[in-house]
Amino acid sequence: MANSGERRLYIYIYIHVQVFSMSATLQNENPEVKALSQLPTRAQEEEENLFLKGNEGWLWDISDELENVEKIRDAVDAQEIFDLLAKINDPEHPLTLAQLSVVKLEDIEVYDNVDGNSAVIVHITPTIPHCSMCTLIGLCIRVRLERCLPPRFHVDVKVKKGTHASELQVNKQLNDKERVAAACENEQLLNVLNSMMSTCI
Amino acid sequence: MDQVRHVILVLSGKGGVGKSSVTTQLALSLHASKLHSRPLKIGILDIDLTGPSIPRMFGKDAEESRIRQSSAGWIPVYTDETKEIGLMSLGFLLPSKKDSVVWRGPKKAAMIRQFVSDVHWGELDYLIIDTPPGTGDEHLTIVESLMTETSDVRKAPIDGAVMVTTPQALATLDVQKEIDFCKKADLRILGIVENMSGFICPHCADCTNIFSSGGGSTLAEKYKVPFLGSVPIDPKFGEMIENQNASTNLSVLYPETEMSKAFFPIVQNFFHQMYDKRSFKLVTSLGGHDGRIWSVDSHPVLPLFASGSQDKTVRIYNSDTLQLVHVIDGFHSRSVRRVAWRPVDRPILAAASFDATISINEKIDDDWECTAALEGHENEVKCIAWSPGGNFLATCSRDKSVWIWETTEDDEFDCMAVLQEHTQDVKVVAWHPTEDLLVSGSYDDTICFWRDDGDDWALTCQLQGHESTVWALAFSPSGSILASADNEGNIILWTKTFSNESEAISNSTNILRPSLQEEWIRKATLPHLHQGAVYSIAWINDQVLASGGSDGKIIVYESEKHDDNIWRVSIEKERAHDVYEINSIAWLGNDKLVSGGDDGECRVWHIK
Repeated sequence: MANSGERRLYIYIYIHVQVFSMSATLQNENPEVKALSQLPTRAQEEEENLFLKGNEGWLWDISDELENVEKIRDAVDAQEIFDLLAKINDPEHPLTLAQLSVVKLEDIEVYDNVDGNSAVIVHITPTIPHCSMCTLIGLCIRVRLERCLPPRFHVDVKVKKGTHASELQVNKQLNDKERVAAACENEQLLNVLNSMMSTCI
Repeated sequence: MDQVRHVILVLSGKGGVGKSSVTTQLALSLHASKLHSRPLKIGILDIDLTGPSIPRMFGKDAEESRIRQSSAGWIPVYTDETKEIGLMSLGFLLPSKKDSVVWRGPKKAAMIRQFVSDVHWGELDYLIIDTPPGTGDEHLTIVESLMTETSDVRKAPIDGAVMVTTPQALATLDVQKEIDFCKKADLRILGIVENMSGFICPHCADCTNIFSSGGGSTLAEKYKVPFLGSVPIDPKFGEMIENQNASTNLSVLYPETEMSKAFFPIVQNFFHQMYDKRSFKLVTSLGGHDGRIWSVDSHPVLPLFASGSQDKTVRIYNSDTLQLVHVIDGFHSRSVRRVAWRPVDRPILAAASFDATISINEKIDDDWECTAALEGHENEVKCIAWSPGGNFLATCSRDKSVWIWETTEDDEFDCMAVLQEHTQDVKVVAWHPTEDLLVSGSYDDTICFWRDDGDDWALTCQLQGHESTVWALAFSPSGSILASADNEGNIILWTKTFSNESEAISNSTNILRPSLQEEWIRKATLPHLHQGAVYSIAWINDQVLASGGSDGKIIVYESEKHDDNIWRVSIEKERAHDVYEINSIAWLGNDKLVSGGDDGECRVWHIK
């Protein structure tokens, strides 16, 4: 975006696409944006550990029927989840959730157990306490993880404590399986979600 | 002793095997059992007259705790104010810890008889009797005295004996004598516990077998008695016992220790001996749906069951042959959320969908037809329920309303009431089996009760007992208990205490007559074993019900025969659909259960 005039046009187009009605001004005019270089990525040292990681897999019970596809298994960790979510577009700004610090590496918990009870808990930080896009963002994260992760993971998306005025209501909606499933059958909403995830691989 | 439900003897062939320690741990583990709906009340009777060690185990200094007398008898020394664990021992009667008991046989026998007949235990679930080592006077007397004490809450005077041994082969020689004693005294042997089986290092928690190993299990196999398990030596346990004082409570400290985790499998095996062990086996897995199964329902009369799925279809199976009979497809434009068979002799199935309509499908002359489509809800229909006679159909939706439809003579449906008291999505509706009572559960965490008061359907009661969405409601077959389940895995049983039906519904023409009201109170809370939402509950009879939820577990609960406020877990099936959540369960007859999960499969289970 070269000049502010073009940027404003881009934003207006975004608003037309929204299903939810909102005023012509943005919810948050000046969000804090992180540069791409500031985002956490897998560090260089990790590459040296790949050798060890690969061999650990052999100590694992090969006769486990569930995982008979890969014999060498890398446990899923928070960085992997972050990488899956980082490039999701914010519905309002032409920026990603990672750049807006809505999704942060330290707010992702992963429990990956061989014998069951694997879970991923993601806490999101809306840019302002009255953000009405919060539920939409949370829903998008849920859908993204449900599509990308194997079925053994129980996914929990919550608003980070103290960051949103309607934290309890948002959390309750995001964790109601029936509501989430019904919402995902709504074509308009699905289109919005897909456009938010269009920058993800 | 007439309110004591189970009596257990703890025996050993030799001294020094840690019988008192096993008795104490058994008592504490039973008390802390998560498989019961309330903490079990335990009594410990220490008849090791010459070496009473139970008071010491619980930190009850014999000089301070005294046994008091009441008109009903001697009152046991309780470990804390809750009075859930009571102790009785000669140690409390002696003037000082250092006093020895030098009595001849008859005096010991008299003492034991007094312990049996004169102690007022009150209501107890388990009385555990700690005996001296070997076989002697005390053993004969206790067995004789207990045989004469009959009670209507106990099945047998003594439920059985638990034997304690140590791993060495030498110790087991003496246990053989004990087993022989049990056979002669006609005592059931509940099992063998191998104590001091390994040493837990206090630094690394690794377990080393300092004595030889395997003695207990070999003995159990040889004499065909059950092997309950092994208990290691943990120095921390000894320290904990020694360091007790007036402010520490063993029943609170013990469940946190490593020992209690090691003891837990022994208690599980113990329960398998006490109660009939039930098996829960998979009969078959039926695939075919192209999306998660939201609902399964079995026909009350005909051998049919149906599954409704996210793939917008309904599959109907024969429950005897488990073969697919028909697929209902093409009527709904979104997920089928709920299926329900009409309780009549013909096969009529209602299917509710996220597309806000309900289709009524009937099998007419070998062909399935959609005979009606009910429209009216503003958005997704979440649940449907037929009234017991099949004349009314209740439906509920995300639009916060409950609709009641009535069938007319030509099998048409008319909406007769729209009930709007909930402030959020209504997730579930259920009818009472005999009365004209409808209940609804909602995202707003409440349960509403609706009755027909002559003019209209009125709200007669609203329960706020859950702290999260109410997903499932089911009345017991007699209608006396309502079970409700929520998003956190709690299952609450409710019963009615009051209703002003006779005042409110009368032929009075007084338009100011009181409105119909009723009161339901919490009867019991089932043991909380689900780690997530419970989506479905189903009763088989008034004493047994099953639940299935997001943690993939199917759990069957049974109530105690003598008291239906106490519920026990009799089957816990984990990963019933592998890693997938379970959305719905239904009983097929008395011994089979069908479950539908997120994997799109119907699994049929057999329970014995």
